[in-house]
Amino acid sequence: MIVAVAGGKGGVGKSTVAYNLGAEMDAVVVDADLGMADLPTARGPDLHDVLAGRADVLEAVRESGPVDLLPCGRSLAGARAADPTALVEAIERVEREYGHVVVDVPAGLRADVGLPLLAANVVVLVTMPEEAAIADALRVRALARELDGGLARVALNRVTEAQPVEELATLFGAPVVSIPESRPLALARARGEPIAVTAPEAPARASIEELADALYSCSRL
Amino acid sequence: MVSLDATTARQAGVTLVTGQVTGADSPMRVTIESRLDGPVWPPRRQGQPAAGWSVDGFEGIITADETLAIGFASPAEPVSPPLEITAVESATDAEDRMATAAGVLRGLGDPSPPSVIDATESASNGAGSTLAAPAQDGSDPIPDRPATEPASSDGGDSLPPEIESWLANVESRVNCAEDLEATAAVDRATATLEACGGVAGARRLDGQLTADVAMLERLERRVNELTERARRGSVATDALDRLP
Repeated sequence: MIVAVAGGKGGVGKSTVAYNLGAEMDAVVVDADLGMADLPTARGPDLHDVLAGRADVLEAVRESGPVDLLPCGRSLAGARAADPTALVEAIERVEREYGHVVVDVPAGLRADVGLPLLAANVVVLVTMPEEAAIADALRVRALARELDGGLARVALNRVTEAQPVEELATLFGAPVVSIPESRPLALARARGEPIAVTAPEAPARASIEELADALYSCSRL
Repeated sequence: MVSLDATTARQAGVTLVTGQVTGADSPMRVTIESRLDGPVWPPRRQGQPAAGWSVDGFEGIITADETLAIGFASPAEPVSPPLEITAVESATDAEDRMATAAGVLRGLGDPSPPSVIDATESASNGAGSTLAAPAQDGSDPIPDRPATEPASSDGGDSLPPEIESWLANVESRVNCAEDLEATAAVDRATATLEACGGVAGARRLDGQLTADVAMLERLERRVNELTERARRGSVATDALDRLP
């Protein structure tokens, strides 16, 4: 199963959700932010090298960390040399080899967003309880629909006070999972580890688990 | 009944072909193929062949009472007629334009960062410099031929490393463009292409060079202006010595 974690707006927590979802699902997390990589990185071939035809995608998957990761290079020259259309095939190849793939999709609405949505079986939209974030997520929702990426869940991130989500679910046409504003989640992120390792009892972890369970049930359909 | 009118014009060794398809009374999917004895050079969007174009020709929808106009180029000699309709079938509504990776790129636009950022970050000292000196992490799209010819070869007065690194990048792009232009033979072109970051790299090269020229010109003006001011602005050290 290929899960695209998208959201339109930057800073809503896409990378955090993608990374922790990857940990929960024992998936390979692909950092597809070709221009501004966000997830932990390491030496060796990365997604830029793969998309420029300089490395095999399976060589670029790091299995040494707490979560299997396909990192993205951070140089602009690397981003320019990469052929974005090769992303779809690269993601599909990782899926064939590893089973589950969670793609951390960049912000915006350009081809670097469209290509992972094209590759994905299901989409998780991450947004925050504020108007601009929801508006951007709706635009990505429209794009995902055009690209046949089925929306599995909306992850409403950084919720500070419990609020009804029915209206939001109707707006997006998909169930909403709330992820509370969480210090343990932020700390885990800062340490480059999943919350499943650093604070498995935290409420935010339960939200991530709920999200993972929902995706598993989607994949069984 | 769908019909096709076509024209050809030969200009500078290139045949330009136009076609007009008319006469559909309901939406029809038409396949039009080139009869020229040579490759079809299709119109492009964002560097990708525009929607509907393939190596053989064009496939697209003509709606009722509409004229479908197409055009392409080819190095082959003109023939008459240059185009033929090879298939006409009733079109379905579910025309999926973004069903392929190339289609998505065409529809949404290439996300690659503009090359001018590279130069801007190199020129400003500080935080951005590691991003702008890609040769260091081995991920420069263009291999390091120019890096083997540092400025230090001319007498030992090397430029500041960030400027040197940026100039080396520009130089490597210029080298690539010159190599690509010089390599007309297909058998050697593959190696040259590879050295220039593949087909994707070569396609971007053109835009990068335009940006490079603009940046070099700005740099030239800045350098001239600063040289002039630096020459004029000598510091009166004698006067400073007399300060209490």
